Amino acid sequence: MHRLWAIIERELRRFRRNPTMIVLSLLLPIIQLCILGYAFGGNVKDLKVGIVDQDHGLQAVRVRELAGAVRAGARTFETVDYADSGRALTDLRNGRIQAVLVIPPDFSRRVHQRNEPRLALIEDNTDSFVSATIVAQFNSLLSAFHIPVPPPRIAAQASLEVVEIYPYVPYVQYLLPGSIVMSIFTMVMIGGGINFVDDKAHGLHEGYLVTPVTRFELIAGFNTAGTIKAVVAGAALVVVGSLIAGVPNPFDPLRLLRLGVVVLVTAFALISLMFLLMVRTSNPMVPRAMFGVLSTVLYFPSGAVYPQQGFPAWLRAIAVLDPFTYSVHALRSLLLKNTGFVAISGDLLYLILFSAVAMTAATLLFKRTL
Amino acid sequence: MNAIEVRNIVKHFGQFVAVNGVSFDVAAGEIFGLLGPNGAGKSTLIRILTTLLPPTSGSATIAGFDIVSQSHEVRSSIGVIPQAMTSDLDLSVHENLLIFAKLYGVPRAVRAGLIHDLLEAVELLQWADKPVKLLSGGMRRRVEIARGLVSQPRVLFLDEPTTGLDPVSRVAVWEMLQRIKSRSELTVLLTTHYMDEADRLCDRIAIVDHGELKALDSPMKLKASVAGTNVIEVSFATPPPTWALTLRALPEVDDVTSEDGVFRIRSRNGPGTTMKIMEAASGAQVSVLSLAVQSTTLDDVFMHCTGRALRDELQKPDAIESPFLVRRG
Repeated sequence: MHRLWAIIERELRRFRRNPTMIVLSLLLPIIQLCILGYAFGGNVKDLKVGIVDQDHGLQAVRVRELAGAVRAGARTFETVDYADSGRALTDLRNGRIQAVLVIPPDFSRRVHQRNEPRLALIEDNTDSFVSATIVAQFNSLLSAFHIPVPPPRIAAQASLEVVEIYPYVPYVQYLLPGSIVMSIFTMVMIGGGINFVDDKAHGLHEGYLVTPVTRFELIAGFNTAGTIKAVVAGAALVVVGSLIAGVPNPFDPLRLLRLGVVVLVTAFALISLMFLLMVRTSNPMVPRAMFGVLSTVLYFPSGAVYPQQGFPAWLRAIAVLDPFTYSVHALRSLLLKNTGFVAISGDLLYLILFSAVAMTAATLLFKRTL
Repeated sequence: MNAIEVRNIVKHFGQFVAVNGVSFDVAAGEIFGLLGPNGAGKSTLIRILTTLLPPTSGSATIAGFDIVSQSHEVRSSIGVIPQAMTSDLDLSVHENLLIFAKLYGVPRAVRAGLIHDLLEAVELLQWADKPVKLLSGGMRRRVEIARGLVSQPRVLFLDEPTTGLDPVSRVAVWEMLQRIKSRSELTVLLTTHYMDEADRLCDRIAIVDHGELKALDSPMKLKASVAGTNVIEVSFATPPPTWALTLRALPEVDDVTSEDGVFRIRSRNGPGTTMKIMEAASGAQVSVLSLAVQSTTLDDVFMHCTGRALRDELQKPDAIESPFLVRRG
């Protein structure tokens, strides 16, 4: 057993002497969390919507007032008045404005007559996020337009009251679980895979193989050391990431304990995967090339950045096998919903099974000779 | 009992035969050298004997243990200094030895004293706490030698211990090995392609070429076995085309070769042949540009055994010299 500890001690001493490795493996996920979290998480603002009022009636003025109020409130867009639709459409094509609202000549009359009054919204749909935002804003605006003053005692139409069971979750918090898993994965790649193959190429493993260290001690030593390094990275991201993303009550001891368990199980699952991929590799270029491919294949299908419900079937199939999926789900449950182990037991079970299969396969492939 | 017994070891890598039926014994306390050019099979043989590679056929015992069926016991009895410098650059000299002492299961009670003594022996005591990356190549090699001895082995394997070192560091390593050897009953097997290294360090030398043993004896006996006790290297201003035949016909000359205008003449009587050469040159009105008389070297032995000069072989590019390939030497 002392030989096993000697391998772990050697790896951890080297790890401690390499602050660059630690910084690098934390830097990527933190940058990703900040950039992606704030790039995708905010509401679209300061768009320009042209208004062509061909009606000039009382109801048209109400619509224009409501549209103008958006500028002062949500600031989704500001309005620009156009005398004719031709000019407005030219500006729309040239990108000066993002949509044109046309109020037709008989709009006010139809409103009074309750004769299907219509407005036309012509939008630049090359940017689906922008066009969806403008449509949503106008739908909300028209809801306000329809509310009679004063409101009737008995509502004529069924309406939906939305109740959110958790506090508002900014996108940066939604992204945090993926960033924690990414930090574990980055350390597994740099401190695990790349380190392992580099040592092999430089003959350091030859040094191990001529000592009386057993096959079990070698495998257990490499993987325990790799897991410890990855847990350090994951734990650091749990703390730093929670502070950056503003997770409420980030140092709840019970939640930290549960997070620690998920980080540990994730680290072991990913180091098992890495050991399986690298056990017969001797070319140092392989883990480096694999880093980019694996981080894309594992990170994006996991639901870390976008709900898996929006994926096509083939991508869902990858997501089902992807260990990131279960780690992200477990971490999200703990961080955003503060659930207990019951809610994440399925995730933990999959990660443990995944580790067992990968580690068994890697052990069978591991050679005690060169 | 012999410390090393090798019986008809063969190693194939696919179609390539790296080691072809090599057999030899090394007595306890002996320094035994495997001498040959790159690609001769030396490193493959050392890797087989240190259990890093399984032999295709044949058998060997180290300290009485079979390298295949008792590989764990073999590893517990040996120290290995591989060709590549494999110390951890980020760790200190002391830490490198400490980790390996633990890997070899050296008891905690003797660990500190042993490491101190080894660092003293390799003259690195004052560098003990410095990271290995700060040391020169020669000092790093001394760290590796100390590391190879940390298990207090009965047999020490050194694969080209001075390759890549400057001449001063090479001599320092030789002196260190001789000093360590004189203090303990250690059996040493080393590979080298340096003639002077083999000549100076080894009790016996095996000349290896193309995976086969070409000769095996003490350096003195190997040199004595080559016809001609002296080699005369002489160059002439404008020798006639048949000049080599003229020189070969001189009394007591066994062999004449020429390369780049230098004639290499093996003779059983160096001074006598030198006189005859001068007389022949004078008679033929050929000016002598340079002349040197030297004793037979291991290079002459290698040439005698293989038909090629070892120094020429070392100039050839080594096609499989790559850190990513294990098949070497």
